[in-house]
Amino acid sequence: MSQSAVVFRNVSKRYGDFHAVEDLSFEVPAGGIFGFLGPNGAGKTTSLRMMLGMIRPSAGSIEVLGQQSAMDVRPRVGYLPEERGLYRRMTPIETIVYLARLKGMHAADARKRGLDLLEKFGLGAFAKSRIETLSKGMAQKVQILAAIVHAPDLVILDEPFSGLDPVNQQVLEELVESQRAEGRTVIFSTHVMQHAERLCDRLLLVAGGRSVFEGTLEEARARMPRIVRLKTTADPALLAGLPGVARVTPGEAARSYELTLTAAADGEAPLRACFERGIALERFDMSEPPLHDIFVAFVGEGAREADERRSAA
Amino acid sequence: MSATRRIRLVAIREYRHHAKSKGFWLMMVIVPLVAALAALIPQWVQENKPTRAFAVIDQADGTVLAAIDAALANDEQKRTLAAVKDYAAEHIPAESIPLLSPFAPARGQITGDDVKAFLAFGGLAKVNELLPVLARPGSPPFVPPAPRFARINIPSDIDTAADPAAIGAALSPYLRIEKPIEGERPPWLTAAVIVPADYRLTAPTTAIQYWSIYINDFELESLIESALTAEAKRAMYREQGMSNEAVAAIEARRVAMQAFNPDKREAGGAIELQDRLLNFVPAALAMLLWMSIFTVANLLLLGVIEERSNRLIEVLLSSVSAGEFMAGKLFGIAMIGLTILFAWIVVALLILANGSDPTVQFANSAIQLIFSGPYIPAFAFYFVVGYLTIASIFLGLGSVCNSQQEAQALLTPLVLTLMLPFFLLLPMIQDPNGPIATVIGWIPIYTPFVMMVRLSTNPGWVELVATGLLTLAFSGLVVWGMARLFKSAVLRTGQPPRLVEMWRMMIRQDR
Repeated sequence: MSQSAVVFRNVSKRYGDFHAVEDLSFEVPAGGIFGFLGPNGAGKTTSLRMMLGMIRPSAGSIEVLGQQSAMDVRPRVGYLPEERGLYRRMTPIETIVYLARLKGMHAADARKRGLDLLEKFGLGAFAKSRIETLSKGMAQKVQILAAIVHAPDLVILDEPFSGLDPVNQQVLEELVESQRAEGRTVIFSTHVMQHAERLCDRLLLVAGGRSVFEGTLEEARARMPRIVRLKTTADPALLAGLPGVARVTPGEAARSYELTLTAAADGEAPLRACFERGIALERFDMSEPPLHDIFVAFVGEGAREADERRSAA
Repeated sequence: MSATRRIRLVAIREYRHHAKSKGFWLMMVIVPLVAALAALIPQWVQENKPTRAFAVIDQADGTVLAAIDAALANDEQKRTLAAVKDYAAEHIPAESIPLLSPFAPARGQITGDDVKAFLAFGGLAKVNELLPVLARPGSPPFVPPAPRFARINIPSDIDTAADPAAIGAALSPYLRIEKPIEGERPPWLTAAVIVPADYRLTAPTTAIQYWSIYINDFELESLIESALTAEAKRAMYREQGMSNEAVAAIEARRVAMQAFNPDKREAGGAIELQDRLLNFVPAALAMLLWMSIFTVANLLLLGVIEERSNRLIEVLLSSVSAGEFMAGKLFGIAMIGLTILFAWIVVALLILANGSDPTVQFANSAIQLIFSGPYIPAFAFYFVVGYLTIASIFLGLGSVCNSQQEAQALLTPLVLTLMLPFFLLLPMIQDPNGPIATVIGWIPIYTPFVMMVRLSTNPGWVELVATGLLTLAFSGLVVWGMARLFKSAVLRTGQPPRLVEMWRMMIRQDR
């Protein structure tokens, strides 16, 4: 039995001729936050549905909390789908209690914990109002609370931040972190990189139904070519001759350049060489590449490969 | 947690959700109320019709006019007598009824002899003296019905000697209710009868003209026609040299015909009016079956469309399997259906129990019939199979639709097809073992409704069991197919699949 919360082994899902997910393998370690990133149509939702046992893979196997199907461990899994909806004529507390009971909680416990959560997240006064009278943000919060009310070991959130205002996004980030602090595993899909960057312990990047990267943010950065951004009045031809520089490309602002370094180089060598060769610098920046850039680099490549595969097929 | 518990939880939510809706309560009350109103309003309208005025212009020898007046008087007496009978049944203790026996106050069709007996007894005047004495204390006073028709005088500006067509034209503003007839009560002319000068009852060369704008109200026209036909026959008998007594004896002659039903054990199988009415009870049960199933199947459709369109279905399917969810919904809504059905029956019984004597008697007989025959187990069986078939079709179709409009497009042809037995209800009631009913009874989707109608005529155990098993198997097949469609389609987004795709989803599970 695996120690991982979720294991995908060579999982594929086909709908007729369309390959939604292709040969996807990854492991989600138990505890911590796992980011499931990819552009629209990358197969994230299909993968999450397969993870939840709602749809069966066409090939491969999936293990969730040590079981062959999430259906066997349903009470230990919480899920928030990408598109939100609730019974309009039910109240938040009725909704939470109903969904918690389907997860195996006793009615009284579900009610007590539901009311506590509603209170904690500022919805105490609306616990008995019909969902149809709540704002969209409030209803979304209710659905998020319904996904965690039964204290699941594994929380799966599909695009949880979409549709929330910045204040509620912050509240949700805190909630996700609190789940990790309580020892739970959180898997969330997103294409908003800032949240993933702040929250995720590990990442899976998918494009065209395939994995293009799995690991930590640091590991992802290590696989990215390092880029130095500088601004100078010197001849750009001089920049190309700097040690460790593989390529020079003009930046967006006037007299600014991006130097792509070779794999072995560090940022100090070109900076030292600039001083030694009298190249006057107005700016020199060698910050870590943001996740956004990593995402675009990996996913762009992955998407291209997927397109090529599809056209070859 | 067991699958049974999850199914139960889904079912309970469905039940509570719908039981709290206004529509549910309206449905429970409005349907029996509308049915009661539909039955009572025409009767009330009939009983409370104002007296309608008409005029007769008899250019001939006056025989027609006299016959019409006599017919009117007779009609009024008959109606008064009927009202006295109703009043007596309701307000006079049974032991006092014999005091009115000279004019036969028992219920039933009123004959000419009854009217004669009533008049001989003293008519309305005598009854007005007796009824307040005989009625139970606190009974309302007897109010004789207003006459249906009153013959009024012809407007003075009409030339009664003119050509009938000219008279009709001249009466036009009166007949169109544009002009009242001064000094007459009621002053509005609804019809005019013109008897041409050369008209003879026994040897007519022309027709009596009946002028009115109410071309679909045949009451007065047929009253006059039958009275004049009877009068013409009487005159012709007399012309043949028969005495008045002989004519009266011929007129009074009625051929007695007694219908028998070999299925009836009581009274040697003799059929009474009640038996004929009871023949409609299974058909009414079939209607009830159909209405209750369709009413709740629609709730199921709307529910699944809501869950699908707002994607709540995804959350639910992370907690329950599609099969459990479908079973819970089917069960919960079935309970709603049974609650509505139960409420309809209770309300109907309450209405019937508060009705007048014959209605109560009929209700009692209907209840006895329902409890004595195979109707209750049959109804329960047909409800289960009919509901499972139709509700799962609705649920399956709901799982592929994003909106009611999309569902409507798929359902309209289906519902029209399912309604077929109701277009054929009358021929099936008249001939429950005829070719139409027999053939349709074997079509599984129609079996529950058709066999319910046919139950009254003992279609035979072999046929009952065979059609029952066939519809049960068909129902199982439909539930299986629709469950597969539901599983495959409920998480899909976008346009509803075409019929061919739906078929593929059912036979090839690809989810």
